[in-house]
Amino acid sequence: MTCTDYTRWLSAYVDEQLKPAQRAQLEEHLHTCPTCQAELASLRQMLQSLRTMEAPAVPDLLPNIHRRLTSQNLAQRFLAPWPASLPLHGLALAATAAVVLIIVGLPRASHHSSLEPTMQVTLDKVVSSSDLEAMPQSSTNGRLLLQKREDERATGTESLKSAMVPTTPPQEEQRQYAGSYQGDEMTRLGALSEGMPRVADDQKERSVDADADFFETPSSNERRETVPSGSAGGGFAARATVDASVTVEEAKQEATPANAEPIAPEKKKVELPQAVPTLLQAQWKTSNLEQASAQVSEWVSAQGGFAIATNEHHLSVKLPPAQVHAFLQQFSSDPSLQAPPASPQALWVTISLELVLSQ
Amino acid sequence: MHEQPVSYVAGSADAREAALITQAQGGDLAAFDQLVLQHQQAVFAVAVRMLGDRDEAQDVAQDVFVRAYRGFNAFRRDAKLSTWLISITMNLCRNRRRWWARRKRVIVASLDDPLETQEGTLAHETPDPGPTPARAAEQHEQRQQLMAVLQLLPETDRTVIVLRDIQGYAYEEIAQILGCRLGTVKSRINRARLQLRALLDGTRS
Repeated sequence: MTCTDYTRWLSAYVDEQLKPAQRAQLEEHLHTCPTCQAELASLRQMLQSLRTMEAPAVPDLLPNIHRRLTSQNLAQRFLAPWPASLPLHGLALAATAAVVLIIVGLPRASHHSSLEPTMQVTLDKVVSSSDLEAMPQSSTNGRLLLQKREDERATGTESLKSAMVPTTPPQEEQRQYAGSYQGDEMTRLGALSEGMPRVADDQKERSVDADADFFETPSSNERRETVPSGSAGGGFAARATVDASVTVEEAKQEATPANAEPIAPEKKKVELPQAVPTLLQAQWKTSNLEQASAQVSEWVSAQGGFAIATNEHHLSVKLPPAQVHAFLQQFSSDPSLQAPPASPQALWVTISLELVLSQ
Repeated sequence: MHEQPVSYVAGSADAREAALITQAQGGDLAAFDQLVLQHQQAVFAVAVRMLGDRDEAQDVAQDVFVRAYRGFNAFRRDAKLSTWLISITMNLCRNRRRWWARRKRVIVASLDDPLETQEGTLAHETPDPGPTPARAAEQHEQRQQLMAVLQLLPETDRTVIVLRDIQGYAYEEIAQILGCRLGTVKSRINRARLQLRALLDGTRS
């Protein structure tokens, strides 16, 4: 067994996946082999860094999940394997009639938040007007929906309410909802019929299709604006979720304005002691971030190092020590920043380069 | 209706989750919500590390639960729910990357700020209490670099690094999540760690 062979065991060793005999053999070797010891230490250090990475803060996922579930519900009705696919055509027709009445009644309501109480009152009537008692499974859902709305009124939570009522976040209230209004309502009221039997009505289905097309049309900028920035386009691209394309497109577009802010951080300049010579922090003032980043990458690769752009403002660069001086001459705006004294063991110098937009 | 698994001890966490699953499979949205809350951290964390972007990860995470809800009948009760959810997460992350590749776009690893921690406190073990500012800066730098390099790894390597070394799943769980043999998991992990280190060091190819 050579060191090369033993190093192949190290990974399993740290995870305690080696058989006892192998483990003993490896440990015996480690006693006498500094190379392998160093390998092991290096591996452990890397794993330690990975293991102690902080947990990312998870955003509130429920609102968007609910939006997607309820807006898709009508279209998915015929595919749904569980309860509510009980065909009760008589009730379906009644439900349709009731819903149509609502649709007709809606336009008079403004896109103001005062809409809410009107909607909810009307929706109450819709739900209760269908004979829920006749369908045990669906009535549970119906009751669940009603209960949920009451809960939300009491606690003010958003989850299902956002799916059933066209509430918008406070800052969005002033936006024009009118254009997408009718379409949204169809879908949302359709969602309410979760407590009702599936709607076998062709007309209903066609209008849902129209909704989906409407939602997918890229030209509906208005609609896009009304989506709260945090939702990443989750709710509206109902049909498009099946093929993630439109969703991601919207998400990317919506995310960009929201992201623009956090991406300009205040990078704290830290004075690193000479005892840690391999890590340098540098700043480069430039008028074009993209170009600058590309320039740096190109130069660094040509010198045999490599550069990783962590975002538009930052690159992590690894260079042979001999090249650091030249690098700083080219890409540092601080003339006083010097290349550290070359330490004999260092194969690389790590430079954290921040790109700063010059006015 | 679905039978209650008989092996669970009544009152245990498993039994509670099993009950919630049964209710959610029956269409109980409130039960489903509970399950989301219990698993969203893990799902989101995996997505964010696989994709390197919070917004993409959020979209994927939501998608995971939506699909789980709609496909709940496909969930085999003898498997763990978390395994199933993470499995879906991996698939959706892979699809999302392919989607971007087809459109010749790269997911910009928006790493500088967005990998926020929970209220600034570390959820995992702290390496050492109260590091000096210089040390803290170095650690921060290292982690940024780690995350950046993670995105450069081939997909299969990144997968096992995230599952094993970041999320801490056991070898057996990983085998279930990925649907492969234990031996395969071992060799993948070995290879992935070597790849990662090679990228970090830049000394080997």
